[in-house]
Amino acid sequence: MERQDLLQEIALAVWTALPNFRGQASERTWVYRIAHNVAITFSARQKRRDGVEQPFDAIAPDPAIKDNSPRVVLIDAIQQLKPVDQQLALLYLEGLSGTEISEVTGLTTDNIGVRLNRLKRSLASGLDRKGTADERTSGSR
Amino acid sequence: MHLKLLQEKRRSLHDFVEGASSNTYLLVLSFAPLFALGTWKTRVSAPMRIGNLIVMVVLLAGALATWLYKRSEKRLDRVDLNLRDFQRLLLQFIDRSIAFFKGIKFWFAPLLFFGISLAAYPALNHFWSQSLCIVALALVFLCFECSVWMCDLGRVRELERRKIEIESLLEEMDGSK
Repeated sequence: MERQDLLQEIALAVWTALPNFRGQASERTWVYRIAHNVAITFSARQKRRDGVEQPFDAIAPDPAIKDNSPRVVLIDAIQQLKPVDQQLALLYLEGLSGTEISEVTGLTTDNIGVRLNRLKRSLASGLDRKGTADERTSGSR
Repeated sequence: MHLKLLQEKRRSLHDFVEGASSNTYLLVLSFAPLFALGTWKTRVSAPMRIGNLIVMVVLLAGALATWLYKRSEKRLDRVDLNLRDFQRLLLQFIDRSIAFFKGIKFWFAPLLFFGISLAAYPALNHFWSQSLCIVALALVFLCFECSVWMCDLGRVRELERRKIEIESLLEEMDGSK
């Protein structure tokens, strides 16, 4: 339900912002900007309403996928990150270049490069640790 | 081409919505002349005259302040800015909103009530004694002011909380967190 609400808000925001679109960025970057701004506001509102930190619903795992599939493990790891790092990770996974990510977030490309490298290392070590823990758990059974 | 078509549709819908919200200001501005008329008609009674005048001025000032506040809110339509610029815009809006609720709006209700009380006092004095009139008006004023203050206090707290969240996000982006 929250996913639908968020999608609706993004669609409405895109609709509202249409007169301001002058082609200064690609349509893809422009829509990503709106989607991320709306998602952050939505997440903050949910947090105030429910009293807990809400991950971006767009990356909530499909219940049909097994809990230990690599995708779910990766999503879990991303959800542990701070909001800005979450956004960077998602944009990177969507295939946006450093320049495009810079246009969406307003961070410099250098800053983005440094953050992404740090993120990759942090996610890799987190996933390694989880993989080791899972092996121990399955081995002890 | 599709984008242009959508832009045209969007513009006409926006104009319609804008027209609906401006009715609020028309409503407020319709009452102000009534109180102006009341000021002129009640020449013989100084309290009624002053009361009507105060209400008229407060209504006009309130409409102007609300219009300015709404104008700044419209800037939040720029949701197509990059994340950092949008959060900064939100922060500016929140600061202005807090100033609006703590400053202008706080004085709006008591001044309006004071004007209405002054205009109504001579009429009430026909039925009640002077002290009873004053006590009744003071009690109504206190209840009214308390409820307005509590509503605004909640709103200001929410805004301040949101401000902290946005500042935290901007600090995180700047790498100082």
